[in-house]
Amino acid sequence: MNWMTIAWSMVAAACLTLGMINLRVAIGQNHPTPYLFFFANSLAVASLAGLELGLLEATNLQQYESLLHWAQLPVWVMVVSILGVVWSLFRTGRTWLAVVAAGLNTIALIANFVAPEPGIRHAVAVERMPLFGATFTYAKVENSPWNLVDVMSVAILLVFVLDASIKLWQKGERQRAAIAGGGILFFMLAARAYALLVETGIVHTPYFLCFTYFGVLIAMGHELSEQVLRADRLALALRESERQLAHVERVSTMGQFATSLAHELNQPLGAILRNAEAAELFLQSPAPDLEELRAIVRDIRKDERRACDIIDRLRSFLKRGDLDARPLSVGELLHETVKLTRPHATSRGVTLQMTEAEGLPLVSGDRVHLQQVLLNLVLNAMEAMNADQNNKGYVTLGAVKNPSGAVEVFVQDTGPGFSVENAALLFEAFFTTKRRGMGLGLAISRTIIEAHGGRLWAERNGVQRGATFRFTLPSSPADCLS
Amino acid sequence: MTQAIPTVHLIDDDIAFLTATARLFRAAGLTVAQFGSAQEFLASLTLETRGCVIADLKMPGLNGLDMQTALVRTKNPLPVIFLTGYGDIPASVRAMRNGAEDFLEKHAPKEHLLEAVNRALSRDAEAQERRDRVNEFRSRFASLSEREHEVLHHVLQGKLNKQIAFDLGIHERTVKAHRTAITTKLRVHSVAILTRLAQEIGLFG
Repeated sequence: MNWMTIAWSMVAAACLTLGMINLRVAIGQNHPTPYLFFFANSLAVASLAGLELGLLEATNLQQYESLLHWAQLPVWVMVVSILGVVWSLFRTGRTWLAVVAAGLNTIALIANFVAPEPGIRHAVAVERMPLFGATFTYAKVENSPWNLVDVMSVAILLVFVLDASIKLWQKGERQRAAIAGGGILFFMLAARAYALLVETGIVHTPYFLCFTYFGVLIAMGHELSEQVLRADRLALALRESERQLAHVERVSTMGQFATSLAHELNQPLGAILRNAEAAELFLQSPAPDLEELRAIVRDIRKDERRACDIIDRLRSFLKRGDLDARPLSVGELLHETVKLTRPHATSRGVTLQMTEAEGLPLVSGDRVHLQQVLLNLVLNAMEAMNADQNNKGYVTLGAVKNPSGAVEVFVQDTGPGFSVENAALLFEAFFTTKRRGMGLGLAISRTIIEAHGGRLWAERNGVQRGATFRFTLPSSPADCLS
Repeated sequence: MTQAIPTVHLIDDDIAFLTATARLFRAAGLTVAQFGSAQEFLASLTLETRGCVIADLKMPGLNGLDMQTALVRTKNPLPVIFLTGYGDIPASVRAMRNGAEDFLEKHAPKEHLLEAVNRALSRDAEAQERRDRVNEFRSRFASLSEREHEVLHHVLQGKLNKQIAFDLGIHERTVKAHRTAITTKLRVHSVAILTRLAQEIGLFG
């Protein structure tokens, strides 16, 4: 095996690898066209490499002739796929130029196989020649008039690519135009020019066609991978803005019941004040009751802890962050939600109830994010009943294990419910029936639940008034016991 | 009738706050009763209950204002002081219209709180005194005979003995005897005071 066999085989292998990667990308893409063209192109270049290797090793004129004849097929695939990639990726080329180039090349292909002559190019003599320690078969090649059609189609292809690149450059995407457009043009020209030099006998070397075409492939591949990266960056930016939005929504949720929270904080702070004042009075007596004073100090400490817990809860809720999934108990989550919203409910005259939620498997989830969903649902429920003054409302929270083993959480209210026509819009961003409100709460809640691998939906209560919101959370794999 | 000791009735759903405030009042020498809810307090209320009520405005179940409304309807409407965590103007207006003694912030200094409590306690004591006096007179009036009652009615209309004797068809001396009996039983000698008392207890409509 000489170096030529190795080099040409490597090019073929590299082409196939690139092709397979892009085929895989095409399968997962909404716009697979450029990736499919690229895949076709890589197959064509790989087969050209194979055929070229065959030419180098050909032992007689007839063999050479036959291989040269067949080479026109991958050349055609290559021309059409280059046009396809540039057309579908740049979206700035003139379609008619691409069609003309493809059409002319098709005519050349048909002529190659149908015309009475051996082909649009044919070898007239072969001889073995040395090159860097190896020998290869060199042939003197003559072109038929049909070859002119092939040359013209390639020329139009070059015009098409040049035109598309210039327009892309003018649109401001200079890097793409220079690297992809410039790369394709340079390697195409190089390939054709060198082939001409070989065929006219000015240089006596192999065609090296597959190497230059491989260059074209690389130029296009660079552009395509750039597309994939761009999509990835976009997805990342989207996730980030989703997270920011969730944070904004959390802050505004907090704002909704800031007064209730102030009330909750007032309790321990008020208790601390009264205890301190009582201690002052006790200390004024000639023989202070030390037992009582000790009890006071103990209670002050306890209330300080309580106030801190409220603030911690707030802080952890407002903290922005990624999904940090841990095994957690839905029952505890519901208790916390009730604790946070109880003052709000009391001040609105809404009765907050919680049904038994014990014996449930743990779920895997992010405490803060799930808390946000629950708060959102509970506050929505209360708000709904506020719109309906004559009806002293009930909000019921609970959770059950559904047949598939997931935990299903529900928040039920006795408010006015929602209309059938609104049912489809509930989870749309910026849809709201509240006077104040961005209409993001439910949209974000659904995103959060879906990120947990669950589902969030709404039901109209049958006989009774009101609505029920339900969401599922898959049980945690860490929960082996149940 | 045994008089109960004037007691500060504290109502708050928050046990820590309840305990601390009760401690403060005890330290100030007051008698305190603690209740976790308005219902609990109303259930304990009797005619003999003395003192005042300090309640949180916002509580689960029966809230402060509803409790006040219920209390005003009883025969023993103790003065009410409301504590609130944050300024709630509509609620305070409603509370004051309903006769609340005071409306204080939860974090008001103890001097204000104790002042308000003392004011409430003395108001309750005054109200009680007045009620006792009225009851006392009512029982004295009740001891009059039917004839004495008739005579008193005429006296209060400013009639002279002669006129009364004529109206009732009795002798003037008998009228005089009745009048003596009335002043002895009621322990009141001036007609002016009699008139005022009769008005106070709503005698003769």
